[in-house]
Amino acid sequence: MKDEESGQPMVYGIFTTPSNSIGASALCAFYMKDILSAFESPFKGQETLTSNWLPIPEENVPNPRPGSCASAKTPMDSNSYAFVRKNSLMEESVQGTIVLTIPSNEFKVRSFAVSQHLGQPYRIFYLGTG
Amino acid sequence: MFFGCFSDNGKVLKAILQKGASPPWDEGVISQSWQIFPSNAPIKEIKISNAGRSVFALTDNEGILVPTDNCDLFLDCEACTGLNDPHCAWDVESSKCTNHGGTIRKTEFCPVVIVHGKKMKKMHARYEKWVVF
Repeated sequence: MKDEESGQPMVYGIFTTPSNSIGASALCAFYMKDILSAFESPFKGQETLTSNWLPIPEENVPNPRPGSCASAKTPMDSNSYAFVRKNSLMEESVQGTIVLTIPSNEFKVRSFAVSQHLGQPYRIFYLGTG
Repeated sequence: MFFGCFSDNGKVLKAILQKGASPPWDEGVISQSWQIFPSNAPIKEIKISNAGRSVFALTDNEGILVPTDNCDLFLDCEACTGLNDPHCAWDVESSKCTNHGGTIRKTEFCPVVIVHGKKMKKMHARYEKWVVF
């Protein structure tokens, strides 16, 4: 859906704590542009199993860059596939906004729907517990 | 030992996100909670239907269509505005909590009550504020 003020496409997501910790659910909002810009940041990689996780220099990233569209002329080679398998993290994280936190050991939010009321200063969320 | 068994499933929570001064939105509040399935049934999917007048909630083997407003269940002004539900407003003429739909004359204030010897009125629940007058 779109942010009414800026017209920016945005997404909402539900996050929950793992079952072996304090129970809580959170509803968060993200702008699509922030998600896309995270994918344009350096890949994050580990030289060896004992190395630190560090940004991978752009010259070590295969061309076409994983995540971009490969043209018919330069299809992805096996190096690219190996690179994608090995490096699934990006250096930058996506910063979102917490809309609602619901601490509860009795339930977690598993599903939701949002209704936007054009011109009205609110949005309504329906959260399903599971 | 924790068995991962939640005792409060099968609920639909209605949450309101008010537009705030700071971008993009203010923090939301839970307005109502409806136990629509037995508590051991996890709700897997929710869809809005009937142009926002109902929500359809699905468990693994059941589906229930719930109306999105139940304003008429709330009988006094405080309970009505206390819902924080933009669907519901207190209609001063009929003295009912109703889905105004933009047509009914709604009130921002509940009738006057006396608190600590002072005449006060509660502003519309959105602001959760009492004013002395």
